[in-house]
Amino acid sequence: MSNMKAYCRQCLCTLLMCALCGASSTAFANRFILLTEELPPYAISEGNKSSGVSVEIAALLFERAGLDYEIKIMPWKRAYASTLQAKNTCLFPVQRNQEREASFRWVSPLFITQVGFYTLRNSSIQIRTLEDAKPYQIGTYSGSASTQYLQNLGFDIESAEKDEQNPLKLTHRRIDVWSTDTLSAYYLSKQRNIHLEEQMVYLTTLRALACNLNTPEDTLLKLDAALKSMYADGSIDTITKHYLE
Amino acid sequence: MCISIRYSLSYRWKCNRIRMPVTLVLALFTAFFSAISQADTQNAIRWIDSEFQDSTLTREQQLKEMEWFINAAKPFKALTIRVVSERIDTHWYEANVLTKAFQDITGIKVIHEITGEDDVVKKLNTQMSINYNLYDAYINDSDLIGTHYRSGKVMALDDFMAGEGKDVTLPTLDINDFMGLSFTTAPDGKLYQLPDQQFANLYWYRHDWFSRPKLRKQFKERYGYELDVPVNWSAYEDIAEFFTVHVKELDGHKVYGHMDYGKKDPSLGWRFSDAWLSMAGTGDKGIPNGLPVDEWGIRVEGCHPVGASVSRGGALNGPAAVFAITKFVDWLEKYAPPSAKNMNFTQAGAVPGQGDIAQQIFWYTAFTAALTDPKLPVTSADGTPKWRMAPSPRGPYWEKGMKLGYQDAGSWTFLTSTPLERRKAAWLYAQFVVSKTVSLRKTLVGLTPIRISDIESKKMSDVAHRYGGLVEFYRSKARLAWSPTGSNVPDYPGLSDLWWKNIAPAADRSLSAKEAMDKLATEMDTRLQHIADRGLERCAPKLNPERAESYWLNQPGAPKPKLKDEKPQGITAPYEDLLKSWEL
Repeated sequence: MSNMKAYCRQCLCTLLMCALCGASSTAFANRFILLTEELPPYAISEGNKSSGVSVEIAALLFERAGLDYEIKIMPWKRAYASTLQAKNTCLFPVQRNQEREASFRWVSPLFITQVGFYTLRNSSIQIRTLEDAKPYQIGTYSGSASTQYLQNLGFDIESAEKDEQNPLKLTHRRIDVWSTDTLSAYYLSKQRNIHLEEQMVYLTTLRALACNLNTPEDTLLKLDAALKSMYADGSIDTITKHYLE
Repeated sequence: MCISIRYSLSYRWKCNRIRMPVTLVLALFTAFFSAISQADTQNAIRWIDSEFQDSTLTREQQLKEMEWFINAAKPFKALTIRVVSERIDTHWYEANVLTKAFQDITGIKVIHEITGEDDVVKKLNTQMSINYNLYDAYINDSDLIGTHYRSGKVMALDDFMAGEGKDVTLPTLDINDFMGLSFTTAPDGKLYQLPDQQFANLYWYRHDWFSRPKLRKQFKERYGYELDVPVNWSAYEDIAEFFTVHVKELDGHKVYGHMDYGKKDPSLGWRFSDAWLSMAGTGDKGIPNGLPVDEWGIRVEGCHPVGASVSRGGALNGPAAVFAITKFVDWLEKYAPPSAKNMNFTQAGAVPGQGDIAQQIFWYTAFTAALTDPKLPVTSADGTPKWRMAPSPRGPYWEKGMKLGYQDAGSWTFLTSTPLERRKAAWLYAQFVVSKTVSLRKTLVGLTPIRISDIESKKMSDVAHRYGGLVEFYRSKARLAWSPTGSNVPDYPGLSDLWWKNIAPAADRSLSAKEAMDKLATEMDTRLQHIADRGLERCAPKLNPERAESYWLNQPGAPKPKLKDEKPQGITAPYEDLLKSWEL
């Protein structure tokens, strides 16, 4: 764990340095701009610092691949449009799907999430299959994997702007069930001291790094190799577990 | 002697607190587990009497089969198993109904995830690549058989059933009752996957329109032969032109003689990798797949892929393949609804049901249930279809003895990176959903038959008239000529994206069909070389040196030289005659 802390400090320092330098664009011609949105516990900005599961994984990935990078947190739509247009730009974490496949070049999976249905601990709701959740109003947040998945299947969705709003909506009975990934459920309910019942973890998603179509093949190969090594030596699990403590 | 017991509700009897005579403890122990077992049996009876009444087994045989599951599952009762499959009715039935039945009967909880087929393949590829146990089992198309047996990362079921999985292999599985075993058996003779559902890609047409005397007369006057089911591509093209260009409207609605899709999207790839070139006649003879050249145009020598380009002995950019792509683009532009060019697979799939399409050369029977909805204009008030499915017409390069179309065989696949205990529990679930207790009911729900005993059952005879020829197709030996991608393809996930990326420019005319196929063949060879460089457990590609195309085109078999006449006389045949021809 001490290694983990040292790594986190190093990572934050790197990010801080990146944020503070204001050198000309020529000097950073090969620098990759890595875009993400504010999404605790995956991306959290505090002043000039960034942290979170996906931020730390992306930072370690580029360091291992020996590539210069800078992480920026901005609204998702802006980040998505920038990545489509600008060279040396990547977006994370993106759910890789058929519709997006042709728009980016991919490094995957940056990490793996599992999405579940959550109720308050004393709820009488019992969910064993997806079909069992059909009668209920389900809280998600806009743009999330579960929103898209459940909407396509005709579920009654109440989509919030931010996932942080859903634990409160659950306690105020404004939704029956909260659908979110296991890490967010743990992190956000703990923050608000809400006791949840995990009903069913119904979907596994692969979260990817989506890079501009002009990203060179050799860069992708370097990133792929670095990512494999991070799975092999347990780095990704270590970063994720850190946010479960 | 004292006994400490912990069970799922975390009650404990601790030796130092409660002391009981051993006989009493044993009696309680036996009574406790006997009660659980009886509860499982009661659950089995409840499910058999409510859900699984349609079965080729008697009720007593079903109960005996379920008793075996109850006993075999005992060591795994506390486990939650996670499996994944594509999004079709059969798998929804498994995920929403059969998981509950299985848990009630065996105590093993199963999360059966449903997602797109491309996502299933990505997840399988991810687990193989990073050795991280994402799922305990996959229902994966048998198109990946060539990938699986070369990878060394997929468990050979034959070895498992005879070895470490013997104690969890159902004695009444009756493996020879499965229709699709040839698709899931590798060149090493071993079974790698167990079929869970099968559907074919056939010709679909409006039988009611084709039966109208006025239309039949008009067609014969214009083309000189009967308006019936097209046997060759020439007749398909004539019928497409007839409806789109000459008939134009029926009953006040615009009608089209063809339907397809052309959007740049991964689903465009299936339109070709699912045997389109074989329908034109691109590969060699051989069932289930052409040898030495298959329908991807890849040549093998021994078990080694040696190239896809004509210059290396393949057929991917040969005259037959170029012809197949040319016809796809021409028909899409001339005879399909104008919106079809910008549709993907899912969007296009709903169109025949809307009642404007006369025929479709490339139609998946997985849509059978959806197209028998009585609310649709293609279904009669009594629920019988106005349409029929029939054998796919063949292109001018096709010869007897070649495969004639595609069949999807979604099959249970287990990776060696999954811990043995979880693999065993998942294998129990896999066998449950294909067991004879369950499979006939599942076939009636999803219409994706896997067992000969189900398709030959009286129940299927009783309902055959509702499904437009599906039962007749599966009862015939002709079903063997419709087969999945074969074992020539050494890395399906690593190669399949080349199809849609290279054919999309042909679909929007930014490249000619020949240019697109030349580029595709070159990139396929490059990827084959990358696969060889990366190394495989066995049978890696060994590319042939390039030589003049004329050398290979003058050899017997594929790649075949260009025909002087690629549009011979159109041939059609009455539907009833074709049904008989299926009875091989």
